Amino acid sequence: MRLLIPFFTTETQLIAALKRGEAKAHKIVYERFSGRMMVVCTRYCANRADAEEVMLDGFMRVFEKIDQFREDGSFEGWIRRVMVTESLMFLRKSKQWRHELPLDNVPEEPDYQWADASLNADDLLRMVGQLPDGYRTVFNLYAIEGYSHAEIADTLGISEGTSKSQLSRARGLLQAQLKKTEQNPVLHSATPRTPSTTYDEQKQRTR
Amino acid sequence: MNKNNEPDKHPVDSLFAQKLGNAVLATNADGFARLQARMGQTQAEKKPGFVIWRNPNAQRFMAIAACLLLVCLFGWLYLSNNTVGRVEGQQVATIKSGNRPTIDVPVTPQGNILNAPTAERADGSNPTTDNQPTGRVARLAPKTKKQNSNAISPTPRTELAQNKPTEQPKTEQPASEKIVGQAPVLASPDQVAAVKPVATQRVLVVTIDEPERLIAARQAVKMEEMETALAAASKPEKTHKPGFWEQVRRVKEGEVFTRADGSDDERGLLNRAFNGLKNSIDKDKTARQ
Repeated sequence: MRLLIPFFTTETQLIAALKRGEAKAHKIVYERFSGRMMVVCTRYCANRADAEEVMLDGFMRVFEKIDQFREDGSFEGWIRRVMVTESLMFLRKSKQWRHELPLDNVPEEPDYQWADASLNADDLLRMVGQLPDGYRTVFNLYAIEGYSHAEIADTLGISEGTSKSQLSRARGLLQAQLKKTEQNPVLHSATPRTPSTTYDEQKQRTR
Repeated sequence: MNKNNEPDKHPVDSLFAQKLGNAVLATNADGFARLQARMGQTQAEKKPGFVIWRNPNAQRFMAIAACLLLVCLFGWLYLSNNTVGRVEGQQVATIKSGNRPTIDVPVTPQGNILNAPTAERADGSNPTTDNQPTGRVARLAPKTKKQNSNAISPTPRTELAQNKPTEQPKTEQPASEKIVGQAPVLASPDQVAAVKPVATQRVLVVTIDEPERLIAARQAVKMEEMETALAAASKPEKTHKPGFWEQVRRVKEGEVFTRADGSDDERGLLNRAFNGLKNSIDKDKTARQ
C-alpha cells in the first residue's frame, strides 16, 4: 500500500487512474475510504454484515460510475452519497419503511455534555442501530447527512409530515437511550470492543 | 442535499452528527478481495460467452474478410461486364437464323476472310454484312483497325471503310470488296454472337482501282528509290581510321611516316602527293562537266 501511494499523490491522479480502471487505484480508494463508508452503511443498515455487503456494492457502483463524477466537488462526498443511495436501496428492498414503534411518553432530557464526553462513536452507532429502519433512515438523512424534510420525502417517497414525525420519534428514542446509558453507564457503554467483533455480537453482549 | 443550518439544531442531532460524521469503523481484511471477486463476477456476467463483434482479433479477421469479399465482388463485376454480353463495350444481342446472312468467303489458314466478291451475294443486296446499314460498319471499323492491320491486302491501295465514311456510292462502282476479319462462319444458326468476341469483329474493306498513270508514276518513283538504295549499298565502306594513340604507338615503334588510314602500304611521300593531286584534278573535271 505504501508503495502504491506515491503513484497517486493527488486526488485528481487517483480519479484518473480509476477512470482508466487500474486495480491498484481501486485498492487505494477502498483502503482510504472503506472505514468511513462502513460507518455510513452501518448507520443505515444496523446489521453489520448487511452494512458490509452494502458497502461493497457501493464501492462497485463507485468504480463503475466513476466517469459520472464531475470533479467540481469532493470525491469523498460523492462516494458518501453513493453509499447512502445504496443503503436506501437496500432498505427499500427490505420494505420496512413504515415500521413504527409507539412512543408512549416524552422522555426526559439527557445530559448531552456527559454524553459527548463519555460516549464514543461505537456507542452512538449502537444506539442508532437500535432504532427502527424508518426512524433511523430519516434521522440519518436529516441529522447527519443534512437533508431537508422535502428532500427526504422526495427520496424516500413519503410525505414531509411523515418525515418530520419519524424524525421526532427517532429523537425521542435516542434521548431515552442516552438517558438509560447516563443512568447505568457500565451496562450500556463499558463493553470492550475489538475490530473483529460484529455488531450483533456487541448487541448480544449488551443484552 | 442542503445542510439544514438551523440555529436551534437539536442537541441529539448535534451530538450524533459530531460523533458519527467522521467516524471510522474497521472493516474485514478480506473486504477488498471480496470486492474484486464480485467485480470479476459481474464482468463475467456482462460478457455472455464469446461475442464475436467485441473480440478485437475477430474484428481484424472480419475486416480482412470484408476487404477480400469486396475485392472479389468488384473483380467479378468488372470481369462480367467485360466478357459476358459485351463486345468492346457494346451490347451484343442474339442473332436468329432468319436474320443471319450467310456469306461464302474464302478463309485463310489464320482465319482471315479474303476477297469475297460482291457478286457472290445471292440477294444482290448491299455488300455490308448482317444487312446492317453501312454506318454501323463504319462505326465498328475504327475499333478493329489495329487488329486487322496484319490482314492480307492484295493491293497497296486498300483502305478501311472508316477512312471514307461518306463514300457510300463508291461501293456501287465495279470495285472488288473484301471482308477482312477473323470470323469463322458459325455453324449453328441460333448461336449467340457474344460467345467469342473476336468472331463478331468484321471490317469492310473497299478497294478502288487507281488510274494507270498514277500507278506508273508510283512505280517510277519506287524504281528511283531502289536505284539510290543500290548505289548507296555499293559504295565502299569507310576504312577504319586508327586513333591518335595508335599513331603514336606506331611512331614510337619507328615508323616515321605513319599513314592515317593505318594500312601497311609503304609508299613514299611523292606517291601520296601525286595521288592527291590526281584526285583533285578528277574532281575538278567532273565539276566542269
